[in-house]
Amino acid sequence: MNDFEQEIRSALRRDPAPPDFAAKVLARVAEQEIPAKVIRLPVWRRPAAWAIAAGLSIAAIVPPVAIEYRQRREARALEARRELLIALEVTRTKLQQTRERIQRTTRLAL
Amino acid sequence: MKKMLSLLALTLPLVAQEGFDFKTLDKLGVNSTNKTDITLNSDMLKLASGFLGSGAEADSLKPLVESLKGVYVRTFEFDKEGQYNEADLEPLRTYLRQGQWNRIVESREGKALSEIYLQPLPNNRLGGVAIISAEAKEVTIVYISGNLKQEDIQKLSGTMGIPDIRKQLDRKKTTDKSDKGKKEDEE
Repeated sequence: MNDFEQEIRSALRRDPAPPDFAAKVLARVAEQEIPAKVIRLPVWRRPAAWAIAAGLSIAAIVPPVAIEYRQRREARALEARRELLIALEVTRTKLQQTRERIQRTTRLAL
Repeated sequence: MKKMLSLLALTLPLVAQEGFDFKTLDKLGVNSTNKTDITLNSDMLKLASGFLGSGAEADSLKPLVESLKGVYVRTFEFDKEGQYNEADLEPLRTYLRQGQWNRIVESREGKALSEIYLQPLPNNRLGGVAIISAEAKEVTIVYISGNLKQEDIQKLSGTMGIPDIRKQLDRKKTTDKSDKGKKEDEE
């Protein structure tokens, strides 16, 4: 065995790790731990934001529309009622006039 | 083609029964100074029925209104005599004749003419009442269709169950005036 071989053998010799090696490695790892990657979407791309916006829009639009619809329906109904009462009044008047006319003409004929 | 023709044959009578075209009476009112034009179909009548309120009058009126399918009133008032052509009433008369309405009254007194038509239905029911009243300065046409009982006609001709619209309108005018008065006082 020549010197060169002796040198290589000593270089490649297995040395036991120092007793605090594992602790040092773990400490280093802990120091350099990369935080978990969190994807932060802009507010306008978040589904929850969309849901809230939609909910608020519906809450803002639906009640006035419903009130407006009810008021219009009520106004139409009141107008229909007014027209109905006028129609019935005209009917009554005309039927009574006809009755009176018949009575008059019958009396005259007699 | 045959199917189309048979469909047409089926629908034609339905169209014919659909109702009278009241626009044909518009000619009557060309020279009128005042006119009343009331058209209430079954939907509008249902709507009105829901707003008749409560009380004896409304309770009596509701079943009658619910049995109606349509109420049409045309009144034309004129300043002078001879402002309308009585022949313009003919389309309605023709329609009533074709629809098997019976003229139960025809009364003429001077220049005033009244005609009352009823449409009989089975089981002593009536399909409607139509009135043509032509006076020197006024023409009135009333056409009421539905499924009426004999006593409904009494209701229509008497005060029974029909609120007096004149009273109601007067009451409304009075309240409007008093409201205005209040507002003016506040100002």
